[in-house]
Amino acid sequence: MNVAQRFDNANVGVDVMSSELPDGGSVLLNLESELYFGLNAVGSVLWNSLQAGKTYELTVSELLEQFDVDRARIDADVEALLNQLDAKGLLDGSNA
Amino acid sequence: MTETIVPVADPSDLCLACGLCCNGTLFNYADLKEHEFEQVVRLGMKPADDEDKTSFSLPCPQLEGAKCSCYGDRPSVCGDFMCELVGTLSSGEMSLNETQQVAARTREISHELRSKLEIATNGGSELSIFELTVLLANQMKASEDERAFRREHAVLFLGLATLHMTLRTHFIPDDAEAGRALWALPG
Repeated sequence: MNVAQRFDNANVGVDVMSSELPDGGSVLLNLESELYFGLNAVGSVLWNSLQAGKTYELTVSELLEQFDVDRARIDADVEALLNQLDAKGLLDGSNA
Repeated sequence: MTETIVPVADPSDLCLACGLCCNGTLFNYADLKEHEFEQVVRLGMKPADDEDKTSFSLPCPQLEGAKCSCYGDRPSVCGDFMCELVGTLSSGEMSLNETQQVAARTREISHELRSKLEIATNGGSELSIFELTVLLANQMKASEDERAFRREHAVLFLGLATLHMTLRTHFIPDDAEAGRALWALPG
């Protein structure tokens, strides 16, 4: 499964809440495991897109508008973020 | 030859708009040198432990808003401490305005959280956020269903995670990426 398919199929965990941080990042809290996880500003955009059910292509176009970054870097960073979110039990059906 | 004069930001302009290191948000006690104990008792500060003369409790009673009312007589630890936000200001990584905005937003988060904690725990306004968090953790442990308790107070727990992550990111960095929930820390 490529990164776009993984993103489009991912859902935020039912026990996960999020809140904005003063620097534009976010904190994610898993109420079940009592673990929390910090995201930077780019990570926050991705998380908000996941929550809103936006497609990967729409999310990428928004990131390209907001940040000075290329498509290859976005694909790599999203792949890494999805791995982290999955490992920390923040996505529905995560391994953690 | 011309020189560009870059104004150096004065950290006190940030500290006087912050006060989080004194009001019990960053710490619930501060260390003392042995000879400073009588001095802080005279100033109305309380030992962190009845037997212990090496630290005093926070919030500091000498704090007025974000200003120290015993600045010339304050313990050495107060003058020695420099938070990460002051460091980012001094290094030029963030401007005075940016650091003041972070401090102001963090004070808001802290204030909103402590109001909710006081209501949820029936804790008094003299208690620090840390002490209120301990009360909440004890209530959770005493509840029949900890999971249900967390769900009932979900907004409160999210506030704790938000404050803790903000403090670790901007004030006391220590693996700011992820952490154990704040309410799980007090014993």
